[in-house]
Amino acid sequence: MDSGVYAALNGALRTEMRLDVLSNNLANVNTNGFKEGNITFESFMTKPGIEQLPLPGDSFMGHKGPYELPYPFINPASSAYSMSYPAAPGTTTDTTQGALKGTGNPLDVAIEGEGYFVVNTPEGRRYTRDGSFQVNAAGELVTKDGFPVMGAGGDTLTIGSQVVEISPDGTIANPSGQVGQLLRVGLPKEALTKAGKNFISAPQEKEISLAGARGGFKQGFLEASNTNVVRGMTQMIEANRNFENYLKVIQTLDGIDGQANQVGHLNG
Amino acid sequence: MIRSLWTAATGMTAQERSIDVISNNLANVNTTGFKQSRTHFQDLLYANLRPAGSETSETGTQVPVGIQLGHGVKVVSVSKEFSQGAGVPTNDSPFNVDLMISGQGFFQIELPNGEVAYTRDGHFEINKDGNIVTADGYPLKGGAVGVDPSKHTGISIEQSGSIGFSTSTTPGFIAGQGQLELARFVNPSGLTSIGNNLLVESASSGTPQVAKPDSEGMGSLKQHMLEQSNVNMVTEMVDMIATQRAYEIGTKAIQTADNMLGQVAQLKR
Repeated sequence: MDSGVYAALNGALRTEMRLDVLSNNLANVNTNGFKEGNITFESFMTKPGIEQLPLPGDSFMGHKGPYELPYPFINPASSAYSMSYPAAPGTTTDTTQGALKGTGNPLDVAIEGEGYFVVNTPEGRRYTRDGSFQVNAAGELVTKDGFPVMGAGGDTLTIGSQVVEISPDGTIANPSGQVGQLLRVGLPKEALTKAGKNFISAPQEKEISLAGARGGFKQGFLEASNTNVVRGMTQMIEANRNFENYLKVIQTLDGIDGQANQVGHLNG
Repeated sequence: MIRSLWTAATGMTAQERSIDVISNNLANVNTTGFKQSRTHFQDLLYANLRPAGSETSETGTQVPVGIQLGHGVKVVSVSKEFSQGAGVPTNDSPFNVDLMISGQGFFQIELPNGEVAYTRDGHFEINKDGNIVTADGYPLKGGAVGVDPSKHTGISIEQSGSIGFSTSTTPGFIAGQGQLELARFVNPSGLTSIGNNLLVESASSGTPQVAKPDSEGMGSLKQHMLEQSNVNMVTEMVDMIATQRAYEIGTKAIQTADNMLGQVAQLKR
C-alpha cells in the first residue's frame, strides 16, 4: 500500500485532535478565568527515498547511519522522494487577558495584567485566574471548591463575615483594619499545565515574584473566558474541510490501487 | 472524535443549567427580598497525551509544550449574591409593619416544626393575636408583642429593632414593648433556600451570630419600607444572550463532529 494513505490518515487523526481542542475552548466560553488552548502542527518524519542512503551521523527512527560514506554516494536531495507526516508536538495556552465583567460582588476579584491567584489544595499549590471566591464557615477566603486562597505570606486569609475592601495591591481590609493581602505570582508560559477546575499546575520553583509588576486586583469583577468564538468557529469549519480533504486523498489512492489490480486481469 | 462530541455536550448541559438559574432570577425580579443566583463554571480534567517536560533524548532535551486535550466544562456552584436590593416605601398606615434591613443580617422566622429560618423579606402582617407574622403566618422571632387596635393607635419599630405602641391617651407612646434581633452568617451564600423566601442554616453557612439591629455590624431597620429583589435585569439579559449563544456554539461543535464521523462512515465504498 502506498504510504500516502498513511500520511493522509495521520493528517485526519491530527485534525480530529484539533477539533477536540476547539470543542473544549468553545465549551468553556462562559468559564471564568479560562484560557483557550491551541494545538500546533509540524512535519514530523521524513521517509527516505529508496535510493537515499543515510549520511554519516544521520539517524532515522533511532538508528544511526554508518560513519563511512557508502559508494556510490547519491545526493539524497536530488533523487530521494520524501514524505512528511504531520504531528502535533504540543498544545499551548493563550494567556491573553480575558474581558473583565462587573458583578458588584465584593468577593469577586479579577487580575488585570499578568499573574495568578495561588490556591492551596491537598495536591499542593495550584494557580488560577478565576477569582470568584467565597467565605467558608470558618471565615476563610476559599474558592468555589472550598480550597483556601493563599495570602502574601503563604497563609490562609481569614476575613470573617464583615464586608471587605480589596485594594489593587491585594490588601484586604474590613472596617476594623487590614486582615491580609492576596498573593499574586507569575508563571513562565512553558511551565503551565491545565489541571481542570480552572486550575493550572506548575512546579513551585517556577514562580516569578510580581512585586512591583504592572496591573493588579480588581474587586467586584471577574475575568471572562478569553476564548475567541469567531476564530474558534472558523477553525472548526477549517478542521471539518481539512478532514474531508484527507479522506478524499485516501479514497483517491484507494481508487488508484483498485485500478492497478485491474491491470493484467485475465479473462477466460 | 467521540471526545469532541462529549466535550461539546458538557458545554450545552452547563449552559442549560445557567439558563435555568437566569430564568429563576428573572421570574423573581419583583419578589421582595429575593437575592439573585449566579452559575459558576469550571473546566474538566485534561488528558495529558504528551506531558510537558518529559525527556526527548538521552542528552536531556525536554518537550517544551505537551499535548493536553480538555473534556469540557461543568457547573461548580450556583451561589446567591447578597448585595443590597433597592428600598421602596409602602404605606404609612399606623399598623403597617413592613420592614427593610439596610445592611447585613436576616430576620429570624419560627417555622411550625420549631426550627428557625432566615429571610430578607420584610413583608410582615399583624395576626389576630396582635403578633408580627410573615405573609404565610409564621411568627417573627421577637415579634410576639400583642398589639391591640382597641387600645393602641399604632405600632412603631425603631431602626435598632425596639418596638413601641402609640396610644390616643397619655402618655401617647409606650416604648419597650419588644425587641427584634437579626442574625448574620459568615458565609450567607452557603444558606439553603427552602422556598417561600426562606433560608435555613447549613454546614457551610456557619452558625448564626444574633444581635440587635444597628449594632455589631448588623444592618438597621426601616419601617414602612420593603427591600426589592436585587436582580439586575440588564445583566441578566446580557447573561441570557451569552448563554444562548454559547449553547448554540455547542450544537455547532456537535454538528461538526457528527459531520466528520459521517464522512468516515462514507469512506468505504
